[in-house]
Amino acid sequence: MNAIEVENVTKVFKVLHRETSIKSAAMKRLRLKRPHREEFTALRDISFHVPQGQTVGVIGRNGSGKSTLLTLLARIYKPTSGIIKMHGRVATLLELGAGFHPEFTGLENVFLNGVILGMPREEIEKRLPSIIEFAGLEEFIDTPVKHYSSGMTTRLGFSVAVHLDPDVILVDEVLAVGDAQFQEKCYAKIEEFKKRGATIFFVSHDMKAIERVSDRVLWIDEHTLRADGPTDEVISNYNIRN
Amino acid sequence: MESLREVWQYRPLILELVRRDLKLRYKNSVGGIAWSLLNPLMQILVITLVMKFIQARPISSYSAYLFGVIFLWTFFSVTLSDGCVTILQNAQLVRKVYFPRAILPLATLLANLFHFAVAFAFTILYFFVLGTYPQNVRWEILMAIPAVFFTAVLGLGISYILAYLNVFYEDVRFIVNALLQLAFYTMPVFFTIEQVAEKGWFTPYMSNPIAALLVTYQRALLPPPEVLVAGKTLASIGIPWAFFALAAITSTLVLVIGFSLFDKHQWEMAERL
Repeated sequence: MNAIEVENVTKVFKVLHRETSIKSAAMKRLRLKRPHREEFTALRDISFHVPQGQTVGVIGRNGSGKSTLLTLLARIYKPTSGIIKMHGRVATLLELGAGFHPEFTGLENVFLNGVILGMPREEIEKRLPSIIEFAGLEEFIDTPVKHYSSGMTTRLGFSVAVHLDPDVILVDEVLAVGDAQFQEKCYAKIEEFKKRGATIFFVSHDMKAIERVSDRVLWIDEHTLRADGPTDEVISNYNIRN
Repeated sequence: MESLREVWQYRPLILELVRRDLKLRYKNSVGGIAWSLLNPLMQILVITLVMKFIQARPISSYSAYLFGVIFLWTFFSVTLSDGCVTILQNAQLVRKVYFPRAILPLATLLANLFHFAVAFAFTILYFFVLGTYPQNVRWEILMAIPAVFFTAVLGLGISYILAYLNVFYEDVRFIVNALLQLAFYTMPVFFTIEQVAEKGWFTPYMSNPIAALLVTYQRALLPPPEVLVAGKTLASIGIPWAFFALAAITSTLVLVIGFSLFDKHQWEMAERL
């Protein structure tokens, strides 16, 4: 059973050098200039399947198309061509604490963020003690988030995210948060997810993190899938080329 | 159809977004809800005083009739100006998490509907204080409900169109706000519908769905007033049933068009942010 199916996916962004206001658009029209458009291919003909329970790391240089791939899986953008199928409950962690509002207390933000990520309110309530404990914010949970340090905010965001109980987790560069102790907790949580049979798909520049948790690595280079195989093999290839 | 079902499935998130809007609005203010009433109340006060000053009040209980129209107009106009920027304001979310984008204008509308409910309760209270109620409580009052409902439908429909346009052209909201201000003076606020009818403009005027809805709302809450202009009593007008029906149809149509347009372009919007 596959958790993620990607078939011949291509993503072309239309970079429109169009006017951003009606005023300037009208001015331009008067001068008889046509808006010109450029196309930019972020991903070209990518195909792969991820079986349920596998942990896949994605590596590649900046601008190679890794993050685009993740946003396509997360349904933020639609592929220009090709098919993407996701099976099960998907949790998207492109950003920790998505939708956190600075004026709200930690507690209020836990509910807001949890619902945004797709967790019912009752379920959040049930897991509240565990969420707060995991973030280590017992004392500050009623403080507005604007008074939090950035570390505290990310910890809270991560804590909500890992309590989602998803079947598929999409993660972008978020393992590099917090101090060493918190990172250990994160890894422990990921191991727990793996044991429970969740599928994890994550993008990172941190080779150590990739090596530590992935069963398989995808190497995206120049907008195409350059390598797809066991972790150590792909990483050593990658290290030779870079 | 598929998109509508998805919006329905995202009820919990809609509720949470509405809750967020309401909380934010009242978080840092001492009088809480009173603040959302302050602005229209000041408007009513100023208009009443000005009309008194220039002695142009066509009806004796002028402020009651102002109450019976201005809050609904405020609801409509704030829905449009908020709806316009709702995608941009939530850009952070739209770029990072999937959810049907169509719930954003809807959540904005519902939060504003809540403010309207508060203002409505205040209106009824004022009628009792003024002595207009309970004397004028009639079954027609119930017509206020569909009037408000279709105002919301129309507001949401236009919000979808504006929210979509504003992603592509960022000055849409300035244009919208200017137009709303202008539109305010064409609404039955400074004059009564009887005066419009006297001039022979009743049909074109009432073809504007928002005008028809405002008149329906006002005449549902209050009986037709005795309008005296230049010593002449004008023919009074009750609930304009035919124009209400027309406005209901127009509003529904606008919502269908607005939603389809928004839905068709929802993927482009995320890329433009």
